Amino acid sequence: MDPDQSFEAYKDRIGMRLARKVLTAFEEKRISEELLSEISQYVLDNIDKAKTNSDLLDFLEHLADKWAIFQDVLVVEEAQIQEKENKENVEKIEELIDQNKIDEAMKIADQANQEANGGTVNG
Amino acid sequence: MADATVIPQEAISRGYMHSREAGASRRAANPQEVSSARLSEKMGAALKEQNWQKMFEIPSQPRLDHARLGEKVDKIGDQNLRTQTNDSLVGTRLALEEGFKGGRISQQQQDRIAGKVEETIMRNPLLSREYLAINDIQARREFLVKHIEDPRIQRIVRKELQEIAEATDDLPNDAREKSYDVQEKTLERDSMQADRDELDRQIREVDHRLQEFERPAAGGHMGARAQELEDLRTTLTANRAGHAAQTQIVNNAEFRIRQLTSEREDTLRNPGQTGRRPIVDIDNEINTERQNGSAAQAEMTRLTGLIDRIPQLEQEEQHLNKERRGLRGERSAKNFELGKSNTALQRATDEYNDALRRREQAEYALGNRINDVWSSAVIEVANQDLTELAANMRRIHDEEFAGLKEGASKAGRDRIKELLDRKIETRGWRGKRGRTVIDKIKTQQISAEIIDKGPEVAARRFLSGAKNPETGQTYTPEEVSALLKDKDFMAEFQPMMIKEVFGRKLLTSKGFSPEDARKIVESDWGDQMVQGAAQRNEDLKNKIEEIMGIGAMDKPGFAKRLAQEAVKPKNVGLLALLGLLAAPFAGVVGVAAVGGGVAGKAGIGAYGSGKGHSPVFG
Repeated sequence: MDPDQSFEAYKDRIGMRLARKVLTAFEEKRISEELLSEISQYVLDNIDKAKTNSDLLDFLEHLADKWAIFQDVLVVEEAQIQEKENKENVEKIEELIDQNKIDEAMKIADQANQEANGGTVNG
Repeated sequence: MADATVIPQEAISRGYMHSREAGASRRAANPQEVSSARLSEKMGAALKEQNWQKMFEIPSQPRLDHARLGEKVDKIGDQNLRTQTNDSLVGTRLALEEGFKGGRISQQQQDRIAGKVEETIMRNPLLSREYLAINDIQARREFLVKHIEDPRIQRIVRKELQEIAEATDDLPNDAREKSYDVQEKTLERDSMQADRDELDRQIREVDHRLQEFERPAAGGHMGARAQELEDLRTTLTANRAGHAAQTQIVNNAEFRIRQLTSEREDTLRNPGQTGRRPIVDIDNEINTERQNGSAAQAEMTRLTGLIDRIPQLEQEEQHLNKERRGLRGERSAKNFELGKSNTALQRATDEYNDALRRREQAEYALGNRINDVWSSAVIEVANQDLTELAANMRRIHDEEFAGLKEGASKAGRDRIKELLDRKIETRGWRGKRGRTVIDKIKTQQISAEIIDKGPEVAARRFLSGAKNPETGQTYTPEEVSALLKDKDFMAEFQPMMIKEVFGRKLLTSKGFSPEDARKIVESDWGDQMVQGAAQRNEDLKNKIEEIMGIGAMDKPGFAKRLAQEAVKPKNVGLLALLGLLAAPFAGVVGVAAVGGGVAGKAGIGAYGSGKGHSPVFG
């Protein structure tokens, strides 16, 4: 999740991704009209409950658990978050190294590696 | 979902569909595929607009069973109602599935829907205030169209129509059975009536025959048989005597004839004997005696007839009387049965009429439900909006008055909420849920009290029921009086109280009347409030200056001049503006803005920018 991105913009981005995914699945007959209706109703009923970017990601995880067609949307979002966090960590480590704070830099690198190998990805 | 293949044939024949399109739709090979293709097309169009909410709205809208709805409407007996309902239904379907603008919906169908929505808006305090503040006809129409195209309203319309389609008992069908029952009972009754009529005829006949035996007490015309009987009885003795005399004559004649016959035989055995009369003479006398006997016999027979006639007539009268009694008895029994039959027929007829009336009422209810489907949807959404606005108003006020954590002001505010809000449970189409609503009547009463008597009376009312946080008991009258005299306390409490009360008034009524406005601005507290409100709110200030001139607010007597402008009958906009100023409307406008989609759809401030102004008072 991009912390620089406003909540509304992020919600729109997620909303558009979900909408495209649903439409494609329906056009390719991977979901029935009944399921299409159920998914649409669910999205409309629940997406507005999210008040933060983190809530949105929770919503997305829940959606992907419920219907597999959303798995890849979740994976992409998580990957982007991971990438962003990695970038931030790299910048921070470089800064610490510049300041000769090698131990602290190593600590952050370890922590990032642990998270990447099974830690949580909450934004 | 648009699916021309399920448009009822009668709709096609009634000209709601061009024949070429109708033909094409009938030729569609697979309705399901057509439906899915149209669905994809619509969703794709929404995505092209980058409107993902709209895309999800499209498949989530409840489906409509057009065929079943059409069948229901066709069952409406009243032709005018049926035609109107069908037209409403077709118009609604086209508006929902092809769009209110640009589809095949006719101008008349558009106008009917828009008219219904307008009627409903005019009955709603918030919506009518907003609607009336729009002066341009085209803009007003757009306001109506915005409602008609609102997905929330369309969803309710669909849901309502689908409920109508799925209802099984909305048109009671027992009138037909009842009509058969009436026919059966009518036949029974008619048969009994015919039997009774036959008895009546027979009784009349017997009566007629008995009239011949009538013997009036004095004077009057005697019946023919009665006269005959009386005559016969009168002549009975003479007739009997005559009969006896004639019998004697017959006997004598028979005796004489036997003598003459004997004489004749002797004469024939002894022809020429002296002293004997000639045969001729004997024969002549025999003939004479025979004639005499025959005449007497005839007279005797006549007299016997007259004598025997009396018992005959008496028997005949007795028989007729007996027959009449029997017939009358039968008629009584038949009348009783006929009465029962008539009652049964009446009951069956009443039941039939009731069934017919129930059916008619159900048909009208169905017609009205379909014709009013937009009204009920607009009302439901308006109520949802109002609840949301009221909840947001409470939230904003909570934030604004967060400083009143404890002490008398908070106690007073708690009491205001306690008096003016109440919890209710509603049953919407998504099920039962509880919500807090504004008590409209109490709000109106206390608003009127503030306007007519000033804020102090209302402040006393609220504080009198409030709980003193220091003692845990309600404030005593002495404590209330002390609070009302406390300038610092009143400087905090009074604006807050007015904002709470007037905010609720503006949400639940058409706002302030010209008279209310005049009273507010002419009072010291109102003048101060208007000045304060206008000074604190840039948007309102700009609007006032646009209407009343730059710097108008800084000139002496501004509030009174504003009131004068506002009370002009045509100046609805200024009246609304005065409402904005004289009450904490800016807070409410802010609420509308917080409401997001709500404000966008039904923002209630005629001049509200929806930017969420800061509180005007306090």
